[in-house]
Amino acid sequence: MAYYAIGIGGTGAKCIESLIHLAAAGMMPDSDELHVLFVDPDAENGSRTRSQNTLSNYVKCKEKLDLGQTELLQTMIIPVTSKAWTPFTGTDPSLQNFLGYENFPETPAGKLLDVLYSNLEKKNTLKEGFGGHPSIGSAALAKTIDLVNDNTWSEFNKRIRAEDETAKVFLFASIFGGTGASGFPTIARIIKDVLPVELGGALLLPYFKFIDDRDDSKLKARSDEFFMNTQAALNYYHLLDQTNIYKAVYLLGDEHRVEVENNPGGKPQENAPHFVELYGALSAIDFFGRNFAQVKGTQYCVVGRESNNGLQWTDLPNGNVVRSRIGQLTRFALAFRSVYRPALQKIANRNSYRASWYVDFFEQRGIKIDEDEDELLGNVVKYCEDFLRWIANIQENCSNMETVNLIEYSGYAEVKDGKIELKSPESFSNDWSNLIQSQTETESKREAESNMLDKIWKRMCSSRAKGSDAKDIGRFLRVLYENCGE
Amino acid sequence: MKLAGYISAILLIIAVFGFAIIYVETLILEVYPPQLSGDLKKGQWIKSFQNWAALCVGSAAISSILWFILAQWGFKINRWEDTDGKRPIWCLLFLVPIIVVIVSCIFIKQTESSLLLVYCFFLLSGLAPYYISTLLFSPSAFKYVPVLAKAIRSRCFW
Repeated sequence: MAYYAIGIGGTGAKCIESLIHLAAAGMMPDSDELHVLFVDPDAENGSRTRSQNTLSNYVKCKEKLDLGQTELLQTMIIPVTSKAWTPFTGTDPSLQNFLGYENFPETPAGKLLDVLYSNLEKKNTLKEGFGGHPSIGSAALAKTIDLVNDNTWSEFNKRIRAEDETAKVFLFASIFGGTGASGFPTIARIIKDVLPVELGGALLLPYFKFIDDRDDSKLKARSDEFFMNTQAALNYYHLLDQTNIYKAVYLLGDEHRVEVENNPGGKPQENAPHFVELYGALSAIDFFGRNFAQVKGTQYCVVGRESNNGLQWTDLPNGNVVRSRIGQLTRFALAFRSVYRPALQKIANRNSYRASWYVDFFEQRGIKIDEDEDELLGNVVKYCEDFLRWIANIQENCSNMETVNLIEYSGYAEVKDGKIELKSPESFSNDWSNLIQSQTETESKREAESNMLDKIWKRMCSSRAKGSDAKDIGRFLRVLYENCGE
Repeated sequence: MKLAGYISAILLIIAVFGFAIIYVETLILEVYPPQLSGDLKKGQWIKSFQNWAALCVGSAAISSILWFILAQWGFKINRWEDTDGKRPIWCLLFLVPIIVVIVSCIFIKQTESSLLLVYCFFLLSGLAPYYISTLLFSPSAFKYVPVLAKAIRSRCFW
C-alpha cells in the first residue's frame, strides 16, 4: 500500500523532513511508496525549502541506487509536485485581491467581508503566509483546492484513485499559526468529501516561541497569542466536530518552548528541527502501520515522556527500535561522509589501492568512479549531511531541558552563531563511545563503540559476498549500512 | 570463531607445508648427498640439517602470527589513510626468517660440496611458509597486502 503525507505550513514541512529521515532508516511500515505534498502559501519559506532539499537529495539517491532488500532508503518517496502547492498565483496576493473584493465592496457579500475581516486582514500581503490568521487561510484554501481542475490536486486525486486499497493520508499541521490551523480541517474535509481515504493527522500545539515586535502595521503571527489561538482552534474543532473525519488525531506539544528568531516568513524563516516534529513523524508511522477497519469514530492518541524535564530514546514510541535505526543511519552517514567518500575520491587519483573493501566492491567488479558515479556519491553525501544536521538539531534544540540523552554530536558538528554546522570530514572524532546515548549502556559496549570505525572497516573487508541482490555502488552502500549496525 | 579459524589455518599451513618442504629437501639430499668432511656421518648431518630447517620454518611461523596479530589488532583504521604503508611492514617481517636462515647457514656443519643447495633449502624453508600463510590467511582488512594477493586471495571464498 502507498501512503500519503501532506505537510501544511512550515511546521508541517518540518514534520515531513523528520518523516523522510525515518523512512531513510527503514521505519516506514511495509511500504514501497510514500507520496508527499507540501502546502504553503509562503513560496520561499526557509523551513520548507530545507525539507524539500532533503526530499530532493533522498529521491536522487533512491532513484539511482539499486540497494536490494534493505532498510536503508527503503521507501520510494514521490513528491506530488516538484514545488509546494500554494493557493496564490499572483505576485502580491492579498485577501481582497484574491476574493475580488474591489468588484463588490458595497454589495451584501462585500459588507459581509467587512464584518468578518478587518482592513488589515483584507489588505495585508499573503505572500509570506496567513500571518497567524486561520480565518484568512480557511477562506483561501477552501476557494482554491480543487481536486479535479487544479494540476497538483488532480495529480493527488489520480494517484489515490489508482490505489488498489483504501489509501492512508496523513496531514501535519500546527494549530497555533495561520496556515496549519486553517488547512488541517479544511484540506481534510475537501479530501474526505471526494476521495475514499483513511485520514490521520498530527496537530502540533505550541512548542516554540519568539520575541514579538510591536509593529502593528503588518499582519503577523504573535508568539504571545499562540496559546489563545490554540485554545480557540481546539474549541472550534471540538464544537463543530471538525476532526471526526479523521481516523486518528495525534496532539503533540512541549511545554519547554524553544525560542526561535522572529521571522514572519520567507527565506529567513528557517527554524531548526525539533523533537516534537520527530514525534509527529512517528505518529504518521504509527497511523500508517495500524489497521482501522474496525475503528469507528476518531481515535485521539496520547504519548508522554518519563520526565517532563528530559528526553531520551525510550520516551519515543518504539524508542529502542528508533534508537537502533537512527543509530545505524547516524553511523552510516558519519562513516560514509568522513571515511569512505574521501577514500573513494582519493583512490581515483592513485594507481594502486589495496583496501580490501575497495578491491572487493569496486576493482573486482569493474566499477570505476567516473563522473556519474562521483555525482551519485556526492548526492549520498548531501543526504548524509542533511541527516546529520537534523539529528544534531533534534538533540540541541531541546537543550532548555535538564537532561537530553539522544545523541552526542560534538564529534562531527558544532554550534556556530546559534546554528548547527558540520565539521569538515577530516576533523571528525573517531571516538563514538557516546554517539548514540543510552541510559543503560554498559562500559564494555561503550568501549566497543569507541572502536566502531575500525570495526566497520574490518567488517567491510570481509563482506564481499553480502548484499548480492543489490547492484554496483548500491551494493557497496548497502553493505556499509548493514555493517554500521550495533 | 573466524579469527581462531584463520590462526589455526596459518599454523596448519606452516606445519604441513614447512615440514613437507623439509621432507622433500631431505629426500633430495639423500639422493644427492653432500660430500662430508672428516668423520662426520651422513645421518648425523641430515639430522642437523633438519633441525636447522625446522628452526627456519619456526621463524616463519613467528612472523606469520606476528603479522596476523598486527593486522588484526595492532593497526587501527579510523581514517582511510591508516591502511597505507602496510606492505613495507609485511616485507619487514621477512627479516625474522631471513636472520634465522643466515644463522642456520653459518652454524650448519659445513660440507665440501652442495653448500649452495643447502643454503637455498634453508631460504625456502624460512620464506615460503611465511609467504604462503600470509598470502592465504591475512586478516580481511589487509588480505591484499602480500605480493600477488589480489590475484590469489580474491579467488578464495574466505
